Amino acid sequence: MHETRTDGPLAFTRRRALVAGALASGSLWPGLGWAQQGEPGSVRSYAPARRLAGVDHAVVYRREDEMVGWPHIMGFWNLGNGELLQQVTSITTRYGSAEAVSHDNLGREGLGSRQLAFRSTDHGRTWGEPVTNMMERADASQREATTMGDLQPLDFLDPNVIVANNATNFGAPTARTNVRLSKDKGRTWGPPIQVPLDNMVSNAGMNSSLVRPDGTSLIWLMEVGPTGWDRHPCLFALPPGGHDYHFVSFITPKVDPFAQGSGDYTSTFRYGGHRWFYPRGYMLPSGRMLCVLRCQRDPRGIMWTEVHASDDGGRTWRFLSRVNDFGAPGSLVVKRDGRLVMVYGYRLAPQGVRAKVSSDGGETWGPELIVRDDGGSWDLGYPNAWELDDGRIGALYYFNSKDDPVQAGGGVRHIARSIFAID
Amino acid sequence: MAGEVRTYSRPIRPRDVDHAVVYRREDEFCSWPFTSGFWENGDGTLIANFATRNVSYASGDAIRHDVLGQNSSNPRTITVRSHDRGLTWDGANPQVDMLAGPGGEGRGQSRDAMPTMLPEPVDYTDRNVLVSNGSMGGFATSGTRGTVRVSKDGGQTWGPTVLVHMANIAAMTGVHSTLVRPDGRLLLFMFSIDADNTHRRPLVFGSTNEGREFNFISYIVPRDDPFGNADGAYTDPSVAFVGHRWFYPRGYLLPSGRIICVVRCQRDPTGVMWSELFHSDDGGGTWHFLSRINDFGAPASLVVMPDGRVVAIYGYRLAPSGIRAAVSEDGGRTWGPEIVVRDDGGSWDLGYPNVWHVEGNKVGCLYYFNSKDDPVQANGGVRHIQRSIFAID
Repeated sequence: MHETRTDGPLAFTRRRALVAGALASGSLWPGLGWAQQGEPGSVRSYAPARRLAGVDHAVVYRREDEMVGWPHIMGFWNLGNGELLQQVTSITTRYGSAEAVSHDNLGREGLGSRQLAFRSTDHGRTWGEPVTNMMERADASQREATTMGDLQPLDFLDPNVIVANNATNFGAPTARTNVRLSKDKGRTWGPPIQVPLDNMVSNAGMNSSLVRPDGTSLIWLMEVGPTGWDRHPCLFALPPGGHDYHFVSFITPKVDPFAQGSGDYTSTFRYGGHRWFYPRGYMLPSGRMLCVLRCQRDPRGIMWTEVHASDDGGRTWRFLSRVNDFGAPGSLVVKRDGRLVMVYGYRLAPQGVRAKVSSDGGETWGPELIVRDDGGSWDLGYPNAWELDDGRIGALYYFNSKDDPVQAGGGVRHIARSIFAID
Repeated sequence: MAGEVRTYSRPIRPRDVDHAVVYRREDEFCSWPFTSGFWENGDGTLIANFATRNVSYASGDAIRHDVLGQNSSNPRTITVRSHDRGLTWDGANPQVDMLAGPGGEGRGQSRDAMPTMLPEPVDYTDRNVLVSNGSMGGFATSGTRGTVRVSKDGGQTWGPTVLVHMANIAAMTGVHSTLVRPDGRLLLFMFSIDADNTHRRPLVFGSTNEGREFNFISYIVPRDDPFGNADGAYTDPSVAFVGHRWFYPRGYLLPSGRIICVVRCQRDPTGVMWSELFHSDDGGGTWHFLSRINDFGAPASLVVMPDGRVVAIYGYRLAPSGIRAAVSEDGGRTWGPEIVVRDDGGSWDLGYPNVWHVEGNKVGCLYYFNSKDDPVQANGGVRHIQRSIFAID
């Protein structure tokens, strides 16, 4: 259901990562559009991680008998004018032991679970009371819809229209994606509409969506192959007036020749290695699209974040950069001044939330910024991030504190937000 | 990525679009102009082939392409001609089986007895020399072999069918994609097929021996796509209805001397297809990926306009199905907004256009079509031939 990852057995230099990415992205066939990488002149400079000053942390939602988590994949919509909508999952638990709240065991207590949605109208400084199971608030006008075609005409450039998607059997070879649509900024929702397989073994969505300026709605999914260990991020599109989302492209090669995620895994899929997953797309002012990917050898810390790029609207992709040594999944903010900020959970000790800044569209990344490092265990992160009206960065994530009186593989898992300046 | 980042705008409708029926019979299934042959001869006559066969439109399932052969009769090739840049066609009185006759398309002949060399040298730069490059032994399957026929009188009569040299390739299919290089060498763009019917792979053959024989020059694409964009969990027993990474190559010469080759890419022929472009700067000896033309739509037929722009027109088989186009102003490296030529198709079963320059900034295309407004509906209306003419700006 929920995973994380970290980095390889050695800390790689950026140059080595670039070489790996170049090979991974197909430069075995020089000249193919997806093949180029590793341009000269982009050698990393080094500076120690910097602890940010003046960071404003606040608890958004905490209940002593709930494990609340995974904002990154549960749905986040930046609705403009300071309005943000965030959905999370809450699972009731007694916090009896670390084992009881292991992700392999969550829910076995049988105490129930639900989705909680929070809305902010002040750029994420404060958040309202949660709405339980927001998706059940039905939009009567969509009640009969079984395909996206039934909902046409749709204008995805209308800021009131937002897309949610998730999957049944997420992470398994039987996963199937469902899309839901809201026409009123998430106050009411249509029914789940299944995305075609298009001859894949499976496909799983994790609320990664983007509207291209031509009006095409894009969703990033991942195919999980027959073994369950072969995740393959991909892009599906619903063209203007279209009737269904359909496959456009795979983001990455099928196999990493460096096998950075390969290992002798005996765990569940959730706790094992996966080379690339959790794709999420972003549009730069230039028209270039970036796709942020999570890479994992162990969700308890050995994870990192990569960026792949497309200059043709998602039709072809190439490796662009590895953002960090450790930390994923990353949420990207394209600031108004053009800089990029990547915020990610950092699950190795001392755990917390960290960030990096790129001033060249994601080609290179500056020193690591420590947003906080007071986590109580690896079980935190999954941020969504945004830019405030004053240029600061906000991030909402799940967290557990080393200072919490409860300690069950970490403190009570709750939702927090941080606001910080990057300069 | 060479720095040309795509710009985006919503799909647009062309101005001055004019559709016309070229050929329609209520009991015929007309199809596949793209792979059937299209020529312009020395006097500017446009010559378009397409396939037809007699069918009943009682059931959509009965005319699915993999069972069409057993549920139809009298398969034949129809040839229509236009003497006014494609505005009007002689569909009311077309030619039937133009390429039939002795050795026509190799039918009924033993391969062992067939020649691999034309009887005389051929000057392919003569505009009244037309080449038919099909195949015998099926289509896109492991038993096929490329064939060539030549007309020296602008398509009125055709010479014998000759086989291309196999060059130790298991099988290959021709799709009437030919190009005459300025040095006089004829290039044939075909695709090979492995013995197990997989791995379609576009390639180029060239004429040798003063134009009499045809030999392998190069493959256009890698053997495998590391991204696996067409890999899938295919269960359909028909090779027509599964994924194929690259096939149906067609080459075009740009004024610069660069050759561009458009290929069809497919996960599902009922819609999840797209068109990619490769290029060669050495006459077809080596190839490189240049661009992906669209999100959805294939096969695409291209035309290089007098002003240098490249227009790609393709069937669009996802709903709302029809014919779409895109224009490149940089030799195919980037493509402008999608042009919706028409979106009134009755099902996915349409497309396969051939394209020509009409005049000025007008282009024409001839394709097979079925209408959502047709009183007949069998997974779409009666499959017939239409042409559209429109301006690109």
